[in-house]
Amino acid sequence: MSKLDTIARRSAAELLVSVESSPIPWFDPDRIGRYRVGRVVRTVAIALVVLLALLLPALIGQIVEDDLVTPVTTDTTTPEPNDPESLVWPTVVARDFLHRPSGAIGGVPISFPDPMWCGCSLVTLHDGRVLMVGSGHSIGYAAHIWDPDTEQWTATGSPNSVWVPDLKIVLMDDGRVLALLWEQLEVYDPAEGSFRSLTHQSELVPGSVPVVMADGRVLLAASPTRGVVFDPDSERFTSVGSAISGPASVVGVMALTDGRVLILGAAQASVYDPATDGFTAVRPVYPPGPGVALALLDDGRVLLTGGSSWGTGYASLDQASAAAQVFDPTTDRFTAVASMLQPRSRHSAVTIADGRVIVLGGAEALVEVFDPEKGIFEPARELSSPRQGPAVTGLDDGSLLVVGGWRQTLPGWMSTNSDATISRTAEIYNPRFTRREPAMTRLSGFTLGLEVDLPDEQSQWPDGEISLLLVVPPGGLDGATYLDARWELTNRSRTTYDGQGGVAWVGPDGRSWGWAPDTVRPLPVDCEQGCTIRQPLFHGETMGFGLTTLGLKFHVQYEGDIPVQAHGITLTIVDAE
Amino acid sequence: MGVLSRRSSHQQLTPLVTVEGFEGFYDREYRAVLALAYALTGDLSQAEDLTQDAFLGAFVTWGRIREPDAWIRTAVSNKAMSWWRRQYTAQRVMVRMVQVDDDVPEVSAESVTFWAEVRRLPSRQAQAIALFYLEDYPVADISRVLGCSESTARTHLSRGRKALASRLGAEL
Repeated sequence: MSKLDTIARRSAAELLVSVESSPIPWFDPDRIGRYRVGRVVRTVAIALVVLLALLLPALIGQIVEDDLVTPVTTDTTTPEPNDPESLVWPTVVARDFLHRPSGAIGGVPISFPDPMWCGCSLVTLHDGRVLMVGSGHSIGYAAHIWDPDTEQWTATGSPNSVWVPDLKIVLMDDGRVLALLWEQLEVYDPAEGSFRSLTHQSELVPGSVPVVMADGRVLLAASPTRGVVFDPDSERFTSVGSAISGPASVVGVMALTDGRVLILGAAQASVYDPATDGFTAVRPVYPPGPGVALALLDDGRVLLTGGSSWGTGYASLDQASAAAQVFDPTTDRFTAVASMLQPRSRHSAVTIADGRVIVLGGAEALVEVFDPEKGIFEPARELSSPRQGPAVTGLDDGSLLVVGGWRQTLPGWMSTNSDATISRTAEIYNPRFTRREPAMTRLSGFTLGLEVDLPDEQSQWPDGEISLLLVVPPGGLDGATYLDARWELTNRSRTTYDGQGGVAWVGPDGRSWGWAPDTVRPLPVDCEQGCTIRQPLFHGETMGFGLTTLGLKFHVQYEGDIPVQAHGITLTIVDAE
Repeated sequence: MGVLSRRSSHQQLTPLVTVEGFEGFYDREYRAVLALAYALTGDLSQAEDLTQDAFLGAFVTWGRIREPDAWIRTAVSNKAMSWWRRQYTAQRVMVRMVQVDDDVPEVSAESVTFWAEVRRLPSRQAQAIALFYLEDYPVADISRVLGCSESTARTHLSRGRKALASRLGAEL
């Protein structure tokens, strides 16, 4: 038994013993009534979402148009249909406007570690931080660590090798990072913060593409029939497949869940099986070409998007492909799926926690999402700027760190070594919500309000959360940059409690729920006298203030205010679920 | 304890329920399911609530569940991971004012660290690890609970073990 197994078995036994001391509670079927009511409420809420999604766009379109042309005039006896004050905004999000590519920006620019510039590569380390290694003629290599908690870059040890215009890094299972610099190999140890060169006698082909296999070893794929396997434990290299001459010709690789590796070459494709060291040819529906992006779906299939037959893949819209196909490892066959919304090459495809795939980068800033269940692409919020060939990695909170790339289409890397054309910028892309500069005047203000009474006999809201949602209208509230929420607690029946308050978002499905990062605060003890929280305003999203309560009986009253700076109008919430 | 009420009104509410069958199932599985929820949440009181909710769901749909043991573990795992995700985000910026429950049994620092690292894993890997070590489930049973193929479950388990070994500084 390994040391891990010993620790795990001991920990499991302790946990089981601790649970054994917990009495089996009386199974109370009376709770079923509440359970059923909860299900009915959820079903009704979903139906309302669908209804609102159908009705809201037309309704909002009228309001926006009206407000842009004339000031709002309020008839106190007979409200006009387009008068915002006559509206009660829905408490659930309308799916329609969350997905429309209306210019809403999903990326928040962050700092960039000067004087570094990209082409660069990123990996998310096991502790959640991100290693970025970049390259440039003037400074050689530079490496930095991005800490998502502090949102700061910190310089770390740089690769020792002489600069070459090809850099790829992968995170190995032991937490170290393998860097392939054309034909030189180095290992970065996060604990030591430094790179160490590896010597190898193998037939490593310059420009190979590294991929970590299911068994922890790294395949450095040179072609669909050739590669070198690196064992991180022994740090030994083993050549596999037939010999080739010239540089590598791999445009994409993906480790499959069954232990094999899909290798895409410029003219052929194969599956490498480490158990037999054999390569089996497979045939894509469309030739993938340079610039193709791969993503592993939750069910083990692989999504292939875009690419180009143009040079190294840096291509304009008319030179790139919008085609998409899926490789199924159970049959070793490719199947065409619906095309992307626009041609892309030198872009990225990243599978997010809910199983969908974010496709970003290319000649334009538009982002789209592939839904494996539907087999289609849908538009999403845009990047803050077009990025062809960006480096992308997923962060622990579900957002993506997007760095570098090129602002314009160029035929190849050799002509991109100019500071003027290289993007020295980075952004955090969050598919869930967006932060947008207040710019447009579309809604002049309205008033809402809310009061929630929690029944005394109910110790907590059905989901343990008391939530109040406010739909910020599409287009935003002009001039409003902050959301002020104020709440009061009364009739508290306990002297201790465990609670939190903050601003929340609701997912595109109208149901999934989570706290907006950095907004959650502990509930102050003196909230009986009223607490206030001030948060940046997120536009075009369903936002809300919420309290999470655990075992607390209280009566709660919310008041929400949004001061609209340009108009001096107060918005107070009047409705909730 | 653990006795299900046999009032006729409940039988009318859920005509498909085999009352004795559910009762035995509840008594037999409660602690194992609670342990799974506890491992995945790290909060015993929350685990008890999630376990109760999962059993309520099982009770309501009892007659339509083919594999209750897998169903209940799937339900509680999903509830636990959903709860954990919310808490994880919140805890990054929040100092919780927790009322300490003296009734929560103590476990060793090693165990606390181990399960905390399990919860940091991707959700599918965490579920696979918990089922493997807590329940001694073979890969075939883990795949039934996770609703995936055996090879996928094996991959989740393998990657989870490797990540844990690395983080805990333990050999595989």
